[in-house]
Amino acid sequence: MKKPLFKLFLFLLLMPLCAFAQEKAELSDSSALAADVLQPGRFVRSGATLNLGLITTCFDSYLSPNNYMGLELGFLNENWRRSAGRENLFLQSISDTSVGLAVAGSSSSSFVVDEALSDAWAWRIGRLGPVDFYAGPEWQGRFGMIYNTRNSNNPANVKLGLHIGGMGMAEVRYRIFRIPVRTSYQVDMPLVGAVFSPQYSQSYYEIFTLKHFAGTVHFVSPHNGFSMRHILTTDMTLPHSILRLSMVSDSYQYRTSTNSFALRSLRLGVGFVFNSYVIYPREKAYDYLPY
Amino acid sequence: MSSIPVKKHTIIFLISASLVCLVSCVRGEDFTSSPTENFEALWKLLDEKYCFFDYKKAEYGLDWNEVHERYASLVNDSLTNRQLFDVLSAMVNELRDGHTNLIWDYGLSRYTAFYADYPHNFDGELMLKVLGDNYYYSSGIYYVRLPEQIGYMYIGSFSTSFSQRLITEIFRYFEDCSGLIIDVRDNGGGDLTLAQDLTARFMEKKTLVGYISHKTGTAHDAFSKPKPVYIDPDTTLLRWDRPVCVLCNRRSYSATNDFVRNMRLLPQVTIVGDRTGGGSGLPMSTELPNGWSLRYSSAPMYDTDMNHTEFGIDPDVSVNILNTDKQRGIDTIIRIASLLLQGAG
Repeated sequence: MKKPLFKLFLFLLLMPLCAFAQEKAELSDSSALAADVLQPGRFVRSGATLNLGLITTCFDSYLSPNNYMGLELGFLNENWRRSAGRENLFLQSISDTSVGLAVAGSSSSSFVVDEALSDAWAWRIGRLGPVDFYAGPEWQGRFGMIYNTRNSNNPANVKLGLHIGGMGMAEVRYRIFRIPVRTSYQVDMPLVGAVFSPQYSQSYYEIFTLKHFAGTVHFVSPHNGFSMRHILTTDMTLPHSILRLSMVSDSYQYRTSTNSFALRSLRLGVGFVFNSYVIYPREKAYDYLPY
Repeated sequence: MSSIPVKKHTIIFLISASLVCLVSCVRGEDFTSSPTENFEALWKLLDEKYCFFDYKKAEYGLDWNEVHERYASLVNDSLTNRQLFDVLSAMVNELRDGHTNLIWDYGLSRYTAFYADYPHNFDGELMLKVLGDNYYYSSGIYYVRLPEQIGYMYIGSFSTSFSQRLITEIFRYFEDCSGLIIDVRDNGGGDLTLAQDLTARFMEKKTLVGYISHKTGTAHDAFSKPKPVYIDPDTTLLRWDRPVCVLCNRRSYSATNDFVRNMRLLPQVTIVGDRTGGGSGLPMSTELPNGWSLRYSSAPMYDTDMNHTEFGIDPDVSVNILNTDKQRGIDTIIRIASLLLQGAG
């Protein structure tokens, strides 16, 4: 049991790093080649921050009726780009990974791994003074696991969820001591979706060894758990880089017919932003090579 | 960048959604060391999650509400942790279940009457005499060829994993033997899948071995529809089709009880020794508000006739170790099994 869990842990930890590296490989900035094939309007902003914060609630009734609290380390990667054809439509991808350790009392502890992947289509819906507002639909995938160090036949509960919802964002640009600053506040709200959750006392032996899967996928919506993520970021343009400060408040929760789950956290982070332009399609770029 | 008038209802929606989040939080229990609250929490956890209330009410008149009344009078907030642990342990043992334990940093409650009140029927010294000096040991399995051309293997636990290659090699070593003794006395269980994989090595085809269900809610009778449990042997592996005796005693518990339940379905297998200890509920864990851990039977497993085996399985041939044999260094149960196999051979 422990080896597969460890592999899953590593996979979830490294997955966003791989995605980030791949994204960078597809981007290029002010090279001579880029100048030839640059398509105005295909601006991409990539920001990555390393976060440290608190797990304010870790509760999974399948594992324990108790609230756990603890610390977690996270990695938030955001890509924001303007769509090819529409001036006011932007595409946003977020990978939010965190690993943590939560405790209850003096002797109970749980390891928490959580990965939230989301893609949003954000329309610039208006402006109020210096503030731009964006909103649009998004999908979100949640993958993770809570591992209770003391439990016997139910030591862990896997978290799998797929949600459709919406996002809203307010963005303001201003200057502090002549330093250009951009601050945005974003809210993500999964509205409907499906999650994997064992039934009341259903064991993983019954689900996976005996392959009795029936009843393990549950419909979720605000009626059985209102989830929301708040992301506050501030980008400061320094002479040679763009510094990003972030705060993420995440509340992911649901009640199925027999089990309840909640994971809430608050993280502060620091990182960098890279602005670039998409050269697409990549194959076409080779047509512009001088040799 | 053109200016677009902001839509106020969008902002109102976002603010409203934030407020909804604040008032609809899913939360668990907070830490408390209060003895009375932990007593109530333990009683309620078992009341909602334990799976054998109805069966045990029929078997020996267990009344969980009456248990609450009896023990509530013993609990007050002036109890020390050790006093509370003793009272709660006694309450848990009313369930007469070896799979249900209360675990504190400094102690573990356990129910032992299912074996302590009966003859042990196993003696390690006697087994060592049977093994002699030429036995083999690997991955928790002791095995030797007895002088009467009977193979003998002792498995003391299903928690220590062994490979299918080891079983194949043991079967090859016993190639000239007319029968096989599998001794699972004092085997307290372990990995259910490992026990089932071993059973598969004696099966010719996919076989129904029992049923399993789980609790679907808090009511005592809220169970899922029992699902069949099959063992499907890998026919590419070497199979033992000669006579087998499985030796068990009251300490053959949990996954070992399941192993005996499955093996007795096979025509070439005879169960010899004492009744098994039982333990047919798949255990799961939870916690009290003070952080103490609770293990409890959560999913009942039945035999092919939908009977519980929670209180054990009777052997086909009931044998106790005789004191006169013991004094002569003879394990009566192994001796009888050997004679049965010689007769069968």
